[in-house]
Amino acid sequence: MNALMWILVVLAVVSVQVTLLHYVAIGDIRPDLCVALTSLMGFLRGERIGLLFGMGIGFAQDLASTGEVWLNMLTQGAVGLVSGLVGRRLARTTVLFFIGLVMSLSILSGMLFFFSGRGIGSLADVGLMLRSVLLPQAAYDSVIAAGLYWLLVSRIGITGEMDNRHVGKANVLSAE
Amino acid sequence: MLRSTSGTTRAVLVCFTILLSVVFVLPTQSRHFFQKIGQPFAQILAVPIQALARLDKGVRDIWQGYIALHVVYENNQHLKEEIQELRRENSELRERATSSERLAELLAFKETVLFQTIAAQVIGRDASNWYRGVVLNKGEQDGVTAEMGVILPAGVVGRVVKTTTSTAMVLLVTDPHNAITGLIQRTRDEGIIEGMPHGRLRMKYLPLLSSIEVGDRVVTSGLTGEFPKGLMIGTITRVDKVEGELFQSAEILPDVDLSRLEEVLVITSVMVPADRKAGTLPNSNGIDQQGSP
Repeated sequence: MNALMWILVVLAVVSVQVTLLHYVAIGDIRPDLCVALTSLMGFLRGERIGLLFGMGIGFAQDLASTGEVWLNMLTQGAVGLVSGLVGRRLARTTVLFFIGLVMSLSILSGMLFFFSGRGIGSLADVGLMLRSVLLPQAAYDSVIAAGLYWLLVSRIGITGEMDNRHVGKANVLSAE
Repeated sequence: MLRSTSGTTRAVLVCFTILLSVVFVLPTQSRHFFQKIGQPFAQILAVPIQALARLDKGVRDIWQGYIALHVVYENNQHLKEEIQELRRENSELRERATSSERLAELLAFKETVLFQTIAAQVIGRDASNWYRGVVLNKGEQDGVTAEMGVILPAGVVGRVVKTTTSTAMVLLVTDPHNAITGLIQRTRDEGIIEGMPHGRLRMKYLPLLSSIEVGDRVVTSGLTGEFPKGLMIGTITRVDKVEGELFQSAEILPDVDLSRLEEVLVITSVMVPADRKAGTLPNSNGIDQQGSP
């Protein structure tokens, strides 16, 4: 994909996130499409693309958010980076593993938000935040990411640029 | 076989680490920097957001207005508006009555609630779950700037925190990062009202001897610039008085249903009598409304 295509994807995803995702909110929790897509990008394309895509989409997300302008940029960048590193270093994995990875990354980005002092509430609210926002959102994000994975990899046949993978075969990824 | 990290990737990682360090070492400067470089991008981003919002509104209007019981919907909307207007009027009357009983000079209350507003449409929600915010379709070109109050006839909605040329980001009153000053209508006790994680409000620093009760109405105190005095905030649903504490606190249920915002009013200026003489006359509600949402 060229740069223009990346920019269009970022604009489309953030616009949908801002305008339409409240229709699929469960108990006031909306999925974070940006986390799901960044994880998938990192997982399929490696840590460099994951990091850059995450920073780009996070920056756009920050522009449409009431929070600091750099916060999502850094957390999404970290999500793409970790996803890419994990994806590249694993010899064999499954969709279930990918779901677990996205859940962990969603929780990681939430914790980064929280400990940067800009998340919901104070330290005393950690339990409440975990129950009310972090875990439900992580579960929701992982379902969305798994759906995207199924759509892009298994249906459309996008295999990523990593030459140590043979994706799209019955939910199993192989590495050299 | 594992691949080693390439030179480009290493360079990107080093840049990311440097950026991370700069952001944490110089937070204010980085915020200004990113806000500055983000302005043109925000304008570009506003285009698909507004287009999608228009599409969304179009589909919703068709669904609600024509497919889903045309007449019933219109009647319902009309009644809802009437209820909101009556509640606002009731609140204003109560406020006036209490004020006039307390001090004669507060009969000039009408003058304190004169303010200019601009109507705006809600075109989106905050891009993350970490903030309770909405995006409005009015920005700097319409005279909307940061720190302006946002209301509905039924009560307080929130405060503008960021603006672009054509949009504004509003932090809702229920966000834990938001705080406004409030006043209990019956007892005249003032306190700070903050959002709570589960979408309600908490009024803090209320005097321990105050006789506040469940059901008491809370309005804005007018001590901060963005909201004039007497706007409805909500109703007290719980009073917390802990032994040994210097203050008591109360939980408040907001009057405005913040999950269903569609159109709001942004307070662009709180008028003083001189403004009134200058010829900007408000309507009968004390609200001078400009523009369409």
